[in-house]
Amino acid sequence: MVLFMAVFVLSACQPLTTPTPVATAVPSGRSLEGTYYFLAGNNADPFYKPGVKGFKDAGDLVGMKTAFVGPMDLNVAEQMKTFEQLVNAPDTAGIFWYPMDFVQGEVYIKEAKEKGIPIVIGAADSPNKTRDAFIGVNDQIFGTAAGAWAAELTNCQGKVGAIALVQANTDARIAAYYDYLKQMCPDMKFADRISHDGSPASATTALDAYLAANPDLSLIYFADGSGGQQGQNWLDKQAQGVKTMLLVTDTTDLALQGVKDGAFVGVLGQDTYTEEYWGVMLLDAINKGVPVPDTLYLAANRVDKGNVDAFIARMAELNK
Amino acid sequence: MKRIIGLALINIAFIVLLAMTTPYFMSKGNLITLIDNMAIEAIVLSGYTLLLIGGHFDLSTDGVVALSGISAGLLMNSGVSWYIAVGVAMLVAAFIGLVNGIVVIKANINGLIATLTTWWICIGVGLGMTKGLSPHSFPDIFQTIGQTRVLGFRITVIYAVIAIIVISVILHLTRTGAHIYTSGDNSQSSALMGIEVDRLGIGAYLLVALLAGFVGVVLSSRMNASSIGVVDGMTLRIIAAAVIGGCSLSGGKGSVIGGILGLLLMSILGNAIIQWGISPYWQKAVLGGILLTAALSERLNFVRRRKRNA
Repeated sequence: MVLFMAVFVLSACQPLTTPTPVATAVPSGRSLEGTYYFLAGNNADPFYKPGVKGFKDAGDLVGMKTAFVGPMDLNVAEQMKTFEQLVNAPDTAGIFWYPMDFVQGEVYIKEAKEKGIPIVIGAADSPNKTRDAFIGVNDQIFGTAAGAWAAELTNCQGKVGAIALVQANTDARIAAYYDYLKQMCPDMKFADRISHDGSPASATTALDAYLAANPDLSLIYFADGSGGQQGQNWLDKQAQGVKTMLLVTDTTDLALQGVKDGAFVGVLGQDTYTEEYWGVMLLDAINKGVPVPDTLYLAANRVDKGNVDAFIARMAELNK
Repeated sequence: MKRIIGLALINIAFIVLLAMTTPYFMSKGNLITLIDNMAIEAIVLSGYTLLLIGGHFDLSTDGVVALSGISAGLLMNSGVSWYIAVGVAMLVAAFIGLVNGIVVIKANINGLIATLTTWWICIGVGLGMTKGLSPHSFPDIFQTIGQTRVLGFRITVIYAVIAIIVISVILHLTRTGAHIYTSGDNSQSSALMGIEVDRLGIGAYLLVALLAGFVGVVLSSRMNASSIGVVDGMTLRIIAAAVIGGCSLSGGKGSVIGGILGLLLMSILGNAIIQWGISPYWQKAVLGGILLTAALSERLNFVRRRKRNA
């Protein structure tokens, strides 16, 4: 009942939840023993810390073991190997998956379903929706939110750009960001999006070259989480007279510190604690035969100088 | 020498092409940026060239950069003085370099396996120590190590110039340098000649690790944060630059200047991709294609010259 209420309240709070929740077909009466796995990629990223805590807290609440697994780098093949291993492991009670490649994962989703293992996707939804449920920030909405914020910050004037790793989720964000701005700010100019290799050093090199090639940029949207590590680089640029605003992604402690120091104009971030907490609740509900919504969209957190202290305090608590 | 001149001409050709086709490539800001960002890799590259000439290679440098930076960062965040933190970071790097050298040369374990595993160990230990959270917000005086500017350039450019000069002098003007070339060319006959091949090899691993450790400290200072993924793929870029610059993977050939010209070519192309506005989806293919073409045309010239001289 509590779970029902909570899922209902959570769904009601999100105006972007899909209008027709679907009851998932589940094998009822499954033995609720074993482990709920959170399968991700690039697991060393501090972005995951609050989510892993949310996953564990929810696991403790429902009396299940939890584990955070997956490659330490952006290695799709390794994530797939782990997926296969989890589907075949005797203790797997459910998998919460941050997909790196939807297509390759389909085969394991099918296998998991045949074995009665529920799969809930977070972060970016599979286009085929073969999973049992999705919870997270829709990347198109995320990008649109970034576009709307950029429009506010620039008054729809000047030239804007974007940088991110080439990945399905960041590509969707950046496309939505440009689409929104092109539609809402007809006078605005745009620099083509650039990418980097994933490390802070390569992001610095790419950003520096981007600014050199586009010295008239008013704002750059950094659509993946590694932008948070550019705080000192951007403070240096500001000291040299650069006025370009940098809007970054993911509320990591470094990104929040960057906002506090004035390096970044703001951070857009997922509430991964809430996302992963409810990821476990959804897995558990499915295992218990409780119908769950097909899709739950969470809003993106918008952090600027006005609320950054509250977020720093919150992240310090979640990162313990 | 002809190879170096050929590579320098290729670099000049790209510079002229970029100057003609983009509005900002030759801007002061862009040129400073290009050299600043190249300097970090140039520091490690200078030592790495010596290692390659000696007939060895090391895949662990990305890990050493990360682990030394994290060691310094964690110590400073726990209240330890910055200079002690830097000292410990350099000791950590030296330890890894010695382990690499001893395992590869004395225990005769394949360098690929040995240094791949020390890379993993470095990353694993770094992750274990940080639990995924990057130490940050270091003392102001520590930040000067990587953030100070001299004539508009970051101080890393000075560090790189010093490393290039010192190692070039060692390689070309000292007996040790001559021994490194000889031992890289043929280690067995070098040992029979009385050259201390093992000591030279271990010394080369130690030098590369110390330079990587120093880069880890410099990057922590520059970013005011220490991250486990601070560099990703730097080792392979360095090996590629050195080979483009004339180093042989089997040892005995190469020069620091050649490696630096190889790195310059890669950096110019990385910058050009953004200046030209090439789609991110095609960047790797374009970069790889141009580098391969440059390497092949340089090789073709070399073969032609040899035929002409024969």
